[in-house]
Formats: sequence, C-alpha cells, structure tokens
Amino acid sequence: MKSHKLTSSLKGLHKWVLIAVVLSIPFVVTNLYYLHLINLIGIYSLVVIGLNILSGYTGQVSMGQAGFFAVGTYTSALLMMKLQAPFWVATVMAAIVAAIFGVVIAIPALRLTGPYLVMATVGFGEIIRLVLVNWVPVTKGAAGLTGIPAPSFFGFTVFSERSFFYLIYAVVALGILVAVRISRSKIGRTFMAIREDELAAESMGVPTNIYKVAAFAIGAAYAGVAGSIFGSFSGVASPDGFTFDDSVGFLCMSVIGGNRSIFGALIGSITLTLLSELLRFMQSYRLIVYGAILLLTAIFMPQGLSGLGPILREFLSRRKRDKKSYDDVQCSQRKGR
Amino acid sequence: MYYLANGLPIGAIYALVALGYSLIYASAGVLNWSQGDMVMLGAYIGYSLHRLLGLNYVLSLLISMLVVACVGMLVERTVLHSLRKRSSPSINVVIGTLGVAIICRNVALAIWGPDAQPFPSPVGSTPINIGNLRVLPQDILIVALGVALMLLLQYFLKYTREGKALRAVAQDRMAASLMGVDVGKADMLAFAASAAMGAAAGILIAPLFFVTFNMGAGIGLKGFVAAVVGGLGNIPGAIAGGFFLGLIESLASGKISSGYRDAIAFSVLIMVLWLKPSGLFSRTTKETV
Amino acid sequence: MGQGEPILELKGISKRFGGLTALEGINLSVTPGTVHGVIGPNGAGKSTLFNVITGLLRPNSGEIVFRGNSLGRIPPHRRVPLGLARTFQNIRLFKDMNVEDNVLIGQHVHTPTPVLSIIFGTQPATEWEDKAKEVADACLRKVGLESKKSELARNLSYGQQKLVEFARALAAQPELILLDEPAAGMNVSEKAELLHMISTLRDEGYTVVLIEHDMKLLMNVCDTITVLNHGKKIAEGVPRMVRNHPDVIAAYLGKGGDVRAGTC
Repeated sequence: MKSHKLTSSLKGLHKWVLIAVVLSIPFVVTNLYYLHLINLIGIYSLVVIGLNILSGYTGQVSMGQAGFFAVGTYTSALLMMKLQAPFWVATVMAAIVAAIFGVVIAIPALRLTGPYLVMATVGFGEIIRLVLVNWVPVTKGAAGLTGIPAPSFFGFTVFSERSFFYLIYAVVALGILVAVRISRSKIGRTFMAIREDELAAESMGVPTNIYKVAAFAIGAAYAGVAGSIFGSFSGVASPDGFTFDDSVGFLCMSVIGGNRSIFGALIGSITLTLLSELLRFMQSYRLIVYGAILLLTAIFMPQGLSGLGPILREFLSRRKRDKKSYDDVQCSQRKGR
Repeated sequence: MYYLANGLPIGAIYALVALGYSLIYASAGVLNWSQGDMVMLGAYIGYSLHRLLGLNYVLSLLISMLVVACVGMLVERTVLHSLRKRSSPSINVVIGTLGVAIICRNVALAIWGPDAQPFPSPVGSTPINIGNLRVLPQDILIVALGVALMLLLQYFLKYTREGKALRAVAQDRMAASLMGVDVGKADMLAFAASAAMGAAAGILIAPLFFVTFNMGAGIGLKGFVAAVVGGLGNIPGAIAGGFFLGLIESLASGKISSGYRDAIAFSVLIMVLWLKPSGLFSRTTKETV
Repeated sequence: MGQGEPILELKGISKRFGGLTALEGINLSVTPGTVHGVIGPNGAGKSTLFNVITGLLRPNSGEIVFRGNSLGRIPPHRRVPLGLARTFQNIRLFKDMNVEDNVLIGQHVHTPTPVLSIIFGTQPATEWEDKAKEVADACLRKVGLESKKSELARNLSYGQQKLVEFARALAAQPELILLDEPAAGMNVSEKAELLHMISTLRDEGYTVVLIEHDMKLLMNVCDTITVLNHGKKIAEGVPRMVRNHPDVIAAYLGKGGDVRAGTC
C-alpha cells in the first residue's frame, strides 16, 4: 500500500488535530463570503469523489457529471417543495434517483470506451439540462426553482453559512469514509482491474458489466447527494448551473487533484475553487492565467496534485535516511517505496 | 426536402469541425478540445480582415485559415508535444487542450471585447426561391465552400506526399515511424489542417449568427459529436457524421420541438452508439488477444 | 468423473473471421491430470482456440464440453467458476496495480463481495480480505514472487510478469489451466523453473493446456501434443510420435524451419 505510512500516522494524533482544525474553521474564517466558498468546495468535492470512483478508479471517463448533480438538486428540491418531504428523506431519494439515472446511462455506455464513452456522457448531461429547460410545468424552465427550503432536523433549521458548514462537512466526511472503504476493498480493486484491462478482468471471472454499472451508480449517487445539499444551500436552482462547462469543471477538479485518489477529489476542488478566486485581482486576464495553469498542471503533473504525495514522502524519508545508520537506510528504503 | 435544405448548411459546418477532430485523432490518437475555439478564432480573424480592413470575403477566409493553422501548429508543438514526451494519460491531453481553449477564448475576449459582432453575409440576406424552397444565399455559400474544402482536404490526403505520410501515421504510427515518416511533422500537419478547417467553419457560419468569444464551445461540442458518430479517425465518416447531425437537428426542431432539438439529437446519437459502439461508418472490431 | 473421461472436449469447433477460417472442425479432448501441448506455426489458430475455449470468441459451429457441461453461450467470466483459468500470450496484467492485487483479482469468483460490510467497515469484509490475501500470497509463493507482492506489476521484469500472470490464474483455483506461450521471452533458467512448476502442477492434480513454441520444453513436459496448421488439426499424440510425424515436419519445413530447431 502506497499510502500506508500516511494513514497509519493519520490514525494517531494527527487525525484528532485534523478534526479539531476542520471544526474550528467557521470560527476562524469570519468572512461569510469565504465561508460560502469553503462550503461550495465541500459540495463540489462530493461530486468529484463520485467522479473519481467512476473515472479514476474504473476508468469510465464521464463528462456528464453535472447531469447527475442536476438530477439530485431537482429531485430533492421538488420533493421538499411539492411533497414537504424532510431534507434527509429528499437527500436519500436524490441519491437513489441519481443512481438510477447512472444505471440508465451506464447501459448504453457498457459497450463504449474512450471518446465514444465521453460522447455518450456529454450527450446525457446535455439531455438532462435540456429537459430541465423545456419541462416547464415541473422544472419552471430556464427561470428555475426558487425558494428551495433549508434543511431542518428536529425543528432546528440549517440556515447560516456556519451551520451549513457543519452539515456539508459532516456529509463530506461520511462520503470520504465510505469512498475510502470502497476503494480499498475488493470492489475498489475490481474497479481498478477494469480500468487497467477490462478483457483480462473478464477472463479472470469479473462480471465487468455489473461493476461498470455499479461504478456509474456510485458516481451518480455522490453527485445526487451533493446536488440535494446544493439546492438547499443556494435556495435556487436553474439549468444554467448544470451545463457542459460545469461537467468539464468537475472533470478538471478530478484530474488536477488526482483522480486515482479519494483525497485527490478534495484537493482538486479546493485548488480550482481557490485558484479562480485568487486570480480575481487579475480581472480580465484571470481566465487566461487559469487556462494556463490547467495546461501546465496537465503537462507537468500527470498524476495530479495528489501524485505529489509519494514524491514528497520519498523526499522526506530521504532526509530522515541521511541521519540514520546504514542498516536503517535499507529498512526505510523499503518502506519508502 | 425542406428539412434537407435546412440541415445541409449546418451539417456542412459540423462536418468541417468534425474533420478536425477526426484528423487529429487519426494521426495523434488524442482528442483536441480546443477545436471549437479554432472556429471562434477563425471567425474573429475573418471578421477583422473583412469588416475592419475591408478585405474580400474569400481572401479573408484564406488568410484566416492560414493564421489559425499556425495557431494549431503552435498548440501541437507546445502542448501535445510536451504531453507526448511524458507519455501522459489521454485524459491529460483533454485537460491540456481545454486549457488552450480557455486561453484562446479569453484572449479573444481581451482583444475583441465581450459584445457580439455582426458579420453580414457577403452574398446578401435576401432569400432565393428554388422551386418552392426559400434558401438564404449564405446557406448555399456554406455548402459550396464547405464541400470544396472537404474535397481539397481529400486531395491533400490522397495525392500529396505530406498527406500520404499523414495517412500512413494514421494507419500505423509505429510502422510509419520505422519506415522513416516523421510522425511529429504528421501531427503538426494534422493540427494545422484541423485548425484551418475549423477557421473556415467559423467564417462560413459567422453571417448566420453573431461572432462572440464563446461561440466555439457549442460548435466544438457538436463537431465532436459528429466526429464520434461518424467513427473518430474516419475522414469520410466525419463528413457523413456532420451532415447526419445537421439533418437530425433540422428534423427534430421541425417535426417535434425546437426546444428539445439538441436533446433529441443527442438521444439519437447515443442510440446509434449503442448499436454501433465505434461509430456509424467504421467497421466494428471486437478486441481480442 | 472417471479417469478415462476427458475434462475438456471440443467437438467440431470452427471459427471464421470474414473470409478467413481460423479454426476448422477441431476435435480435441484433454485427459484430466495431464499436460496437453498445442503447437503449430504462427497463424495456425492456437490463440483463437484459447479464445474460443475461454469464451472471448464464439465459435461459428461446434460444441465445447467442460467437466460434463456444454459451455455454449456462457460468457467468459462465468467460465472461471467452472474451473477454467488462463494466461495471455502478450502479458495482460493490471499494470498499475501491485502484484498482490493482481493475484487477488484471480480469486474474484471465490470470495464474496460483502457490500454492506465494506461500507460500514465491519468485520466480515476485513476477514474475507485477510483470507483472500493468504491465498494470494500462497499462489505467489508457488511462483517464487512473494517478496515482490507490493511492487507495481509494471516494474517487474518480463519473465516475472509472466509468472505473476501464472499466479493470478492459479488463484482462480482452476481445474484446467490454459497457458498461452508461458516460456516466450524467458531465459534458460527461468524456463527450467517454469518446466518444474508445470510438472508440479500436474502432480498436484491440475490439468494444463499449453501453447508453446519451445520444443524442448514441450517434449519434456507434455503428455500429449496436438499440432494445428491453417486452423486444422494435423497430428496428435505423444511427443515422440508427433515430432516424427511427416505432416508436422512438412508444416514446419514449409515455413523454412526444423521442428527440432527450437523456438520460432
């Protein structure tokens, strides 16, 4: 296991420090706009975790992730608005409905690879968006839904940025936990085998179709949950928020963060969201620089930012090594690999 | 007949863009997501030459194609070359060329501003009656020039030394390289030709719409779709795919609903891929060992 | 099943690709507990034969009976639990996964997938995982690569990668194991080790079907050899007999070589 050292150290003290730091963020970051951004990062990272399982682990590149995100948002919002469903019920339903959509798109996609699969997922995302625009009686068309209720639990309504922070990051933590468990299990291993060589996996007894459909369902369910939170978080939802560009944005976060790692999703969402904020001072040149950074990352960091982890660890262990005797060198060399 | 007349011009545009995707995919084996922005650049450069400098339409078209071809070559030399040198996964090529697209779009925004620019048709906008069909002269120009360019490209690929080299690389990159074909040069040519085709599409379509800095996204996507449906890397397939898409769109908006036009088009295309997983016009081969 | 009864039986298998006939009316029966070699010049249809047996290709006609069941239209992944596993001519490992994970995939059909237990992180999932790893390590030990289990498959040498494929096939706990040119690209000592491993497998009760070009290896390890040429079976029998069969010599000499010349 590559990340063995990292996780074992995290399991100790580091874990608690990390939790404490995360919990204190809303008290340290008092600027509500920044807190809003941090909350958005959390929502995006959920979408990207799903995308990483689908694209990074299973190798099924999706450029229609915004479609699943939209399904989640509208399912949950409509359930809450029309049927007065509680938030958590709506969220679970959003995940289920999005997963069903995932299965629906997975079936024609089963026979497709590479650019052909990309096209099918692009098409799917666009179909969803166009249905949202045109199915006016239900979706209110291009104007979108307004007045999506805030989540409430046991009479306590989540309304402020700060309370949303805790809601969102509780879900993100849960999402990461489940995703990490899946990725390190037999399921994750089978996903990777399909990515590496589908035909060999099938020859070794893997029912590849079932696993590919499952990967689509999981990827979609994550986007669905994120969508549900997003709807309640912003109170409004319109088809403009779920375009092809948004799907591409999620894909960028996934690749830049490193799509073969669950934490890469978080790193990617943070990096690209903050980057586009930090470049704001450059005004009209902002997106030029943004594009250039995207380009350079794609060229110089093929594994994304999380790919730097092993390199960094190697570097640190090398520094440690210098201080130790020859015997220890051998040992840490083996561990550092 | 009406739908045919409506679908042909837009189909020709899609075909030109699709050719770009297919040509690059055939040669370099990658997807170039900046293809749509070559269309945009072509339209803007054509606009500047024709509208601002008062140059002749066809001359503007040719110069613009040339300039954008250079941009295409530059993209190949810098982006693709660097990615290939590191043997990056193909998804990184997508992200990298996407970066190029964002840069192009925003450079155009900085130069030409955010307002949509009108680009009047050089052949006027009075519809011509052919039988009982009313056709815009620009539509006829699009189809005529579009088809001419496609024939030119075919000629280039079939009968010139460079074109033959390009086709050899598309057939078998390794073998071509062993036989002394400069594959880097072939890639560069593919990018240049693709960009030029895109630029032509941009100038041809500009009189039907306005010229805007983000016009490339939509056309680029449609061109990609057309190329995929025709079978990526297959040149006649890309052309057929372009016209096929134009026709479906025209039928969908005429017969069913214009709001659902793209949704219907995409559904049909997904169906097509379901039946023929590697495109309508390519022979399906199942992978074995 | 009785001793005389074949574990695998091909009855009149034909496979055509367009106008090309890759296999024509192949009859073949493999006796359990033996090593059965398949040889033939390049393009004779050997790999196609394996693809048909494992279900990657569907024959145009004929029937395959494996341990008494007709395989018919059963897809490749469902043939593995019946006791069929293979390796590939061109190594097809999961290159960006470590060696142990590669072998674990071989066990896919023999371990359950406790979805809920995985999601909730409860005991059954970890227990199954530990058990699976024990078996995987045992398979790696058999091919002598236990020390490499945390390495990425892509970082191993060619010969070692072949052995990992071998271990992965063993992990599927097959009755019949199909080896597609296992010795190709191996050096002399690796080949000797492979030879030893194959004989050990036979002693342990496995049945092995082997495509190979290395005549020396084949002569030493096979109980029966089938010779294919142009998609047809031209000879079959014990190694000594096959080697001196006039049609076999003609098939090879026609390609400008001698059967005894060794590797093609």
